[in-house]
Amino acid sequence: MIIQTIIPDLDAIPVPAPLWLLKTLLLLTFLLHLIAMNILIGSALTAVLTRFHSKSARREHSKYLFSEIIRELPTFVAATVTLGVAPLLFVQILYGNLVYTSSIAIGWFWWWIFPLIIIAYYIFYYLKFKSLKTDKPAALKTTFLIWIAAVVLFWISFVFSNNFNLAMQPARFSALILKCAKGLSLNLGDPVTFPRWLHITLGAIAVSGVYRMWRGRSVAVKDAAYSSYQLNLGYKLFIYPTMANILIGFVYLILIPDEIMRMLMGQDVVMTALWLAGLGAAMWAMPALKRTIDAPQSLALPLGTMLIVITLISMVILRDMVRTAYQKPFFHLSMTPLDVALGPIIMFLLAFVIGIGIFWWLVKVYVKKR
Amino acid sequence: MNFPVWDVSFGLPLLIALVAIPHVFVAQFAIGGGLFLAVYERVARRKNDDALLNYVRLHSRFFLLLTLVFGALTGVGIWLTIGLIHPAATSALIHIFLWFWAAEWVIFILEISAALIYYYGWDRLPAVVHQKVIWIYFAAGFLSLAIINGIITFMLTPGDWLTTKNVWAGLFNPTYWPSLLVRTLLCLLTAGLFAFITATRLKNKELKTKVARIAALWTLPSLLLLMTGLWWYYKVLPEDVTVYLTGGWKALLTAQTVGVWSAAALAVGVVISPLLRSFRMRLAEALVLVLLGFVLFGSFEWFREAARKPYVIWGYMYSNGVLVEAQDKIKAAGLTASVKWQHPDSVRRGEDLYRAACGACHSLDGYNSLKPAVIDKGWDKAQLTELVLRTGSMRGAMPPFPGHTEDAALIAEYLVSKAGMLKLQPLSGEAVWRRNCGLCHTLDSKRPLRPALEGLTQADMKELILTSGDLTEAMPPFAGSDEDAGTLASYLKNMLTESTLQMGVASVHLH
Repeated sequence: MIIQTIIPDLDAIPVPAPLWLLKTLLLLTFLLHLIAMNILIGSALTAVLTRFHSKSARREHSKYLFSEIIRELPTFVAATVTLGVAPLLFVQILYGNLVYTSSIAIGWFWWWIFPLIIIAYYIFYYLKFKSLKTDKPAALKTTFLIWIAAVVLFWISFVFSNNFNLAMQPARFSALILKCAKGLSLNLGDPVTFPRWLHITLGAIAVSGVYRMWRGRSVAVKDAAYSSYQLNLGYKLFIYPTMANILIGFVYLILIPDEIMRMLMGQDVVMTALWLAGLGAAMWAMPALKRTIDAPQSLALPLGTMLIVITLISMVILRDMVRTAYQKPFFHLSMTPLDVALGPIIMFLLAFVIGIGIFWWLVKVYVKKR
Repeated sequence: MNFPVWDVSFGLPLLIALVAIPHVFVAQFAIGGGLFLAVYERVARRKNDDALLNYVRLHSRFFLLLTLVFGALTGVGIWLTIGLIHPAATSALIHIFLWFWAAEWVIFILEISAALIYYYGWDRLPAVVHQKVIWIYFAAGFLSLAIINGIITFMLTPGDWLTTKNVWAGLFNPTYWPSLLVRTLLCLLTAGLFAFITATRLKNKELKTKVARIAALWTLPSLLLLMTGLWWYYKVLPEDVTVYLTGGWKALLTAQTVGVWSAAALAVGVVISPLLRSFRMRLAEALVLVLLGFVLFGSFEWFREAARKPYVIWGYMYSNGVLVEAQDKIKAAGLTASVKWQHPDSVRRGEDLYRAACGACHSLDGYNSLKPAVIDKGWDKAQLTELVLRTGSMRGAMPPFPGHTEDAALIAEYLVSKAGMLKLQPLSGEAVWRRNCGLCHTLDSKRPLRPALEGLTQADMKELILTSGDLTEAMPPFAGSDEDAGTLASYLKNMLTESTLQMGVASVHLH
């Protein structure tokens, strides 16, 4: 391995906004993207699972659930992508010199993300329109297609995780690029790569489990059996990955660079408190969500959901602090030249407020007529 | 110099063209098509025309599947691709227009949600609300165009931004309004073109004719008005581009020719195909029309991209990523000192410098390839070094070389090593011209030679050719034998005696 660290200089044009605002927007929009992404890939996995039809008694339910998920998936893709554009913008303005470079290091893997999403997206639409039309999609072909789409989505999550992990480590991206600038390798030599990806993926499945429980709750009165099926499934999707994730989280903690591990183990009070809060909230959510199976209409589900959102928020902030810790030897945001211009910020805020207003109206008129 | 250059063998510009041109074509349909749906849903409901309303509904599904999936995702693809192929320019555009990108994102969310609610709302929403939703969609789409148009035109004509650094001046730059008009007309044009596609799916002959006529109504006037828009656009282009258009640069002229012919073919195609025999119109015919529209549109984008050279942001950043204001500093320091991404092993330095200085636009064998254009002409290292040093003087717009003679020599050595066997047969007059003069000069257009050569005898010309290196610093020494100089002089003499018109044509071919 070539030991040489190269970091591109910051852009000559100053950043036109206060850093706190950009960081807030980055973390906020990333959180929203994360939630949409979790529901998307977790639902895609659930759709795959329903194709196994293991127990005949639940066969009808799993078939029905499959067609229900298929109808939702295209919208989840749209939400994940649209909510993903903003954090991609803000991460570029804050860490562009690192992110562009690590993206070039993995070149083709990064580029192929969008043709692959297009493939998964069209598969979902194909299955959706087919199931709307016939209600009996051809079994084998459908199973095959949903597998492809799910694998594609998980693969994309791996490439994203790989890139943003690499972007914090100039020594690694420099080595990859100097070895071969064709962009044909991923950052696989890093021991953190797989635990990091597993941590976020298992988390995603767990969050989608909570979403599934909400869907189960929504039909509790109309169809108790189907509701119970979804609540049980949702709970399983939540509990097993979460338990595995606690273990993976510790593996991740052991494998990251020692200085950062020490920060997380008490040296940095805020970082330590954040992961303990995240872990605590997830563990507290377990009994709350279990209670939901027997009492779907109780407050247990909102409580469990709130706790999981707390876990997500703490993990998003922690992830950002870990990034800062990784970057400490070579970069700090305070090095960024600033030249705040109020006019465009006000223009954006106006667009944002008006945009939310119109979005609200759109959703309102759509939901009202259900 | 600052970022690494991704090594894509077929050429980075081709990659962005493959993503961006289909995206923008579909994205413009996403706007024009939105207006089309809004207008004909209203028409159909007002006239109680159920058949037409059913068609609008059918069209909206096609619209949704094409624009929301392919259109939106290739838009994200452009983001990913430009960051990979030109991070310096991407970073600059994001720094300058941060809040406009952010506002565009808000609008993007509105577009996507309005499109979904419109499509899924056909049976759920009251007619009035349903129509409001599509108007919201169209308004959001057009606003999105208004922002992106500002950023794209900024790259060609940054206007006062160069001196004031005022973002509003950058957005509403000299080509903003003509380009907005051209793109709006392209939106309407694509709305008509894609309506032909869905029209072919209709079983009802009467409805099919009606829709084909509607489609022609959207296509033909837009096409005619487009010519006016383009004329306005040409008027405000930077002067350098206008000079190229008089015969200096093949890429621009080819783009222009392709554009004109595809527009003419499209107009003829629309007139003869659907209106006369629409009820029999097949999908393949409609696809040909869409394809012609795509070629017309692609040639416009190609023209715009080519016209911007040698800059990626006119007057601010060269296409190799070097800032105009930093050019002299980098040249003084030399490439070896300025290129960040170099192997510790100096054997690979030539390749590293080549990639940093040339790789953003050129490939060896693919798009804008150097092998056939330069290497296979038989230049040796010394000649190539002279050539590399003078890239800024070439006829096709290249940035000035930001390095020392030693840097140029390293690049030349790398290119020669990639060339394989050199062709060493005697050269024709035209070949000597191409090798020695034609890269920077023409006879009558960009950097014309006619004024300097007219009236000279063939012997005088030969003498001038052999001593051309002494004329100015920008001129390299003549890279050929005494015999080559004689052949060239005879060739030039012949060319000068031909008619101006023919020479105009020749100068195009001589690129």
